[in-house]
Amino acid sequence: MTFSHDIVIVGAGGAGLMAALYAAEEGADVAVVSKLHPLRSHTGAAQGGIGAALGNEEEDSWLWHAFDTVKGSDYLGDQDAIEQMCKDAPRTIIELEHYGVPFSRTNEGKIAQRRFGGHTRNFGEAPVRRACYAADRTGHVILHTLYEQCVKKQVRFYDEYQVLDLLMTEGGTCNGVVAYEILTGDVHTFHAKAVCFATGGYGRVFKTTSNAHAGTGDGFALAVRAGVPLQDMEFVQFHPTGLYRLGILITEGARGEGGILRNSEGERFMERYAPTVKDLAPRDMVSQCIYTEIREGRGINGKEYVHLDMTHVGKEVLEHKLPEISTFSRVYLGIDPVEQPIPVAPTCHYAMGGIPTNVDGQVVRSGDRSDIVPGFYACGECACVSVHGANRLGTNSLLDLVVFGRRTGMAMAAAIKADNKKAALSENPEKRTRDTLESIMARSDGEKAVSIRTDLQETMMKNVSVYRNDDTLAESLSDLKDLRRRVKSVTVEDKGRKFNTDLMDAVEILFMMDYAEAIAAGAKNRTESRGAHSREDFSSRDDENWLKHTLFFGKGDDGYDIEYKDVTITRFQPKERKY
Amino acid sequence: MSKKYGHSAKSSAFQWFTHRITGTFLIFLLITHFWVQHYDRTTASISHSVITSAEADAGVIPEYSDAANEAVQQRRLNQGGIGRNPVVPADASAAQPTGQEATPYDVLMLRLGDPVYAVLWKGFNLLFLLFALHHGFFGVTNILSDYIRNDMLRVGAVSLAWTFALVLFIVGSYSVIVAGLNV
Amino acid sequence: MNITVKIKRFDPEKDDAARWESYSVEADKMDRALDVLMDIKWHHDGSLTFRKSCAHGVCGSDAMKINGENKLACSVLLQDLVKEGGTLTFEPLPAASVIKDLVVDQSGFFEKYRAVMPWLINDSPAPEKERYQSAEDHEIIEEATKCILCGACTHSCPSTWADPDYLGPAALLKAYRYVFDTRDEESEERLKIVDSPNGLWKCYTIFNCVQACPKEIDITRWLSALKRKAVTTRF
Ligand SMILES: Cc1cc2nc3c(=O)[nH]c(=O)nc-3n(C[C@H](O)[C@H](O)[C@H](O)COP(=O)(O)OP(=O)(O)OC[C@H]3O[C@@H](n4cnc5c(N)ncnc54)[C@H](O)[C@@H]3O)c2cc1C
Ligand code: HEM
Ligand code: HEM
Ligand code: FES
Repeated sequence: MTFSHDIVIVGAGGAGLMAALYAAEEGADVAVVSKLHPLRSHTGAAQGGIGAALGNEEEDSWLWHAFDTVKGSDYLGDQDAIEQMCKDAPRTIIELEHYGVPFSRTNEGKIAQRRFGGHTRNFGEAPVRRACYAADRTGHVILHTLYEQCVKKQVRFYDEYQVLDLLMTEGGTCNGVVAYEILTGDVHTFHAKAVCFATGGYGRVFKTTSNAHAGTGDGFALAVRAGVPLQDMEFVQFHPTGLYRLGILITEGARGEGGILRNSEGERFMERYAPTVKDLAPRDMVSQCIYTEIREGRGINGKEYVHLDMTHVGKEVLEHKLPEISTFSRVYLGIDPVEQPIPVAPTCHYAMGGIPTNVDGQVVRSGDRSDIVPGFYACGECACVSVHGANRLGTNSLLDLVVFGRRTGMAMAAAIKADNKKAALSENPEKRTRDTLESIMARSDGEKAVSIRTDLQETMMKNVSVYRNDDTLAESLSDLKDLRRRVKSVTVEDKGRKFNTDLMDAVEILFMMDYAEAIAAGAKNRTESRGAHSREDFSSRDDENWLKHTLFFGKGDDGYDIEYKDVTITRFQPKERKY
Repeated sequence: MSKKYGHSAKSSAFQWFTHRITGTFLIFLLITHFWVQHYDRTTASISHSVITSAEADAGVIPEYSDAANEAVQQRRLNQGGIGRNPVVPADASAAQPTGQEATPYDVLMLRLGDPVYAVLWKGFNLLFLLFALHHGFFGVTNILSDYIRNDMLRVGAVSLAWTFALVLFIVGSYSVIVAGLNV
Repeated sequence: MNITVKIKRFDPEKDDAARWESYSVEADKMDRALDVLMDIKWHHDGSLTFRKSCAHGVCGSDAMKINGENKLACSVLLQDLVKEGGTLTFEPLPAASVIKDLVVDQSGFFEKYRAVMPWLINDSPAPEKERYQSAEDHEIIEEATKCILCGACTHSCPSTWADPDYLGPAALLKAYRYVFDTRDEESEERLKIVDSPNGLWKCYTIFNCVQACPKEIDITRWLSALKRKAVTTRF
């Protein structure tokens, strides 16, 4: 079947819904296609907060926020975009509040704010309260509120439709997507004037992750296949505090409220690495420090974790400000954080890189920033504006979603108003998708998706995580080549048409192969350490050669090309990054 | 949006609230009721034999059998016997107490025929009847309307239930009102 | 530990009725129930179908009946469910039509959600800043905002089992969340909706929802507050 809408948004997390809402506000005909019910999107897992210089708790300014973000990004973020985001932030948060987001409140009834890693006052002086929050379920309340508003605005939702192809005309204009209706097994075409990807992150290519099972990065793969580059994929954020072995996130807000990291000697080791902000140093640093502690034999009981000590914080704060994380440690580890420290280790958390866009969500297809793909937009974690550069600060992702989701929605609506003609579809747009699905279903012997995925996750975790070097990266690339061969024989046991999750697992592993390479290849090429990309063999930052964005062009079995793009610098000249 | 939900002119708030109210009242009504039926072995509710509190304090608790029995026996003789099981043959020779216990029914009739307290007790009974029936049948019709999914059947069953309640109310009220009138 | 896992399965393309299937599984007592399902899907039977996403109880995908009670599979550990050699059962949520195995059709559930106008209504001109709300006023609705709409509550309610059209605790809790939000201006309209024959009054304070709620929300308490509000507004 062919559905036709002005705007088709793929993904219903914070970014997709924000874009949908603001486009719908402008009266556009918007459809949101999501493989999960919108409320199941991983934005709902975001805990700690959303950054904006509201100054509700103490003096703050958007410029300080911008500085922190630039510094946090290890100067790889594009400063024009960062300025835009930090300037837009307060207004966007206020709009969210007006839409009904139930933020926690200060005594005066304003939106409450807390401290978060890397956010400081007066260009690095001391931590500042900038993260607006709703206890430790900030993402959850934002996601729900946005969905509610979209329902109110009668946005058309296609729930549990998994997009499997991005449609482009010969001339490179985007005119729709092909989606698989999970419930029935039917394949449909969505014909649109504007397509927006908001498909979220790819945490699931790593073994230990805070991301959902659905975080398989489908959007990255679809973009690569359509000839769109991926930018800065080597920058993968490992969050310092995931529950040991499970990877479930313990928000940075826990340290914002006073939590302390300790090694096996009980030492508050962050004091050594970041004397000013200590435990509230940015994530890349803290994760690296934890790994260093572990490597030097100061992991707890000789194992690969350290302790997050909340015992001095008190029951009151844990119960009121951090109830979720208390529940997590109680349920999953049987540990009460009021009495015992929580075992934590870094967990793959966030994709700094992604589909390159400008500040209006338009996808840029080369090093030339004006070279956009007509009709194709992206926002949220799958996009790379780039405001996070080499390392994202906590609370800046939700902010990225809402600020750029909003801008993208408005930009798409404006584009529709200017010209509502859709580029014609090709002869048989669903062919490629149907062929892939049929060949998987028809294959009787081969390998199940799970074993390929497990091996992929292992090699990524072992070779491309917090610390990397030329050897590990070379190893991962050769593993990936091998996996790429194996994935051709992926099979399914479920041969039914209806709700075939086995088939979608197989499709997802195909997707993963298409961008995992971008992470490893980008990392191998970048012979410096910057932000989350930490090379043992090149341990310092090299602005001379590497103050530039990576652009990865995948060519399927024929390898890939890598190009580079300049970083935009406005106010803040690169300096050594010290906390 | 489905019409199943909302914008219904019919509010059920009042019935629901009434159910709470009748329920609350029933607590007291039932306590009183059981007290009177089972524990009030005195004839405190019958004016012939009211005892003063001083007497009660002094431990003077007129036995049900003494004062009431006498009155009951008296009535039996006068009227040729009442009660479900006339315990005294109609031709009993004298107005002698037989030593036979009075039945609850007899006591009841006395109470409801009492010149002083009858109005009170009848009022109590009517109120009790109304509340218990409303409370009980409201609950039953709730259950009916939850479980019967066919619209026609549901309306039928609910109407039937309320009709039955009405019949019970009429019968009940009638018995309460006429009870004891011929004492 | 070794356990027997019994799953109520239904393949719409093959089965006329649901059937039980048993698997013998090696598992750790600290595993989540969801881990067991994934293990079976990945290593025993790829056709086993269930929803999942976050795997730590925040997305609401995997509400199902586990050992006879509605729970999130990702939020219970085996040690709290079975002993060595014991049996663990999985069934789809009750009172919902089954799509396949443990996946149920939630369209009715979300229709009820939409029916209560689950969005903030405030048409007065927006202030420059946020709309103030005291910490106390926020606290009134805070617990209700924890709801992840997994459906465990609504499908545990005997009123829903009897009457599938009953709005159910999840939708009513959402109504509560907005009626009691001091920023909302349209509580009357919303109260009219919940004060309908299929609404609030089918809650007989049974407390099954409270027991089922994976977020430990005291749903009945908030619904009672909503009832009081409905009554006092009506009269
Ligand atoms: C545990 C955790 C805690 C976090 N805490 C914070 C925090 O405190 N502050 C902060 O700023 N950030 C936080 N983040 C980061 C932030 O939450 C995420 O980056 C952000 O939510 C991503 O949002 P999104 O809208 O881009 O994607 P998601 O919310 O992940 O949504 C992706 C959407 O795309 C859909 N989709 C994907 N593939 C397809 C396909 N092929 N077809 C159709 N639909 C598809 C999915 O169904 C889903 O609706 C946290 C992240 C995690 C994992
Ligand atoms: C063993 C228990 C009971 C006994 C012996 C009993 C006996 C009686 C008697 C003798 C009366 C006549 C009126 C009076 O004495 O004032 C009566 C009236 C009444 N009883 Fe009970 N009863 C019992 C339990 C109940 C219960 C459980 C209910 C409530 C559901 C109830 C409801 C009523 C009502 C509503 C009346 C009003 C009378 C009427 O309209 O006739 N009774 N009962
Ligand atoms: C002590 C006195 C009583 C009190 C306080 C009381 C209270 C209540 C309450 C509060 C309810 C509503 C439950 C709900 O909807 O949440 C109820 C229901 C009900 N009551 Fe009573 N009640 C009392 C006595 C009685 C008696 C004597 C009867 C029988 C005649 C009765 C029959 C019912 C029925 C049938 C229901 C409906 C059950 C349901 O809705 O599931 N109650 N009662
Ligand atoms: S998988 Fe998200 S709640 Fe269980």
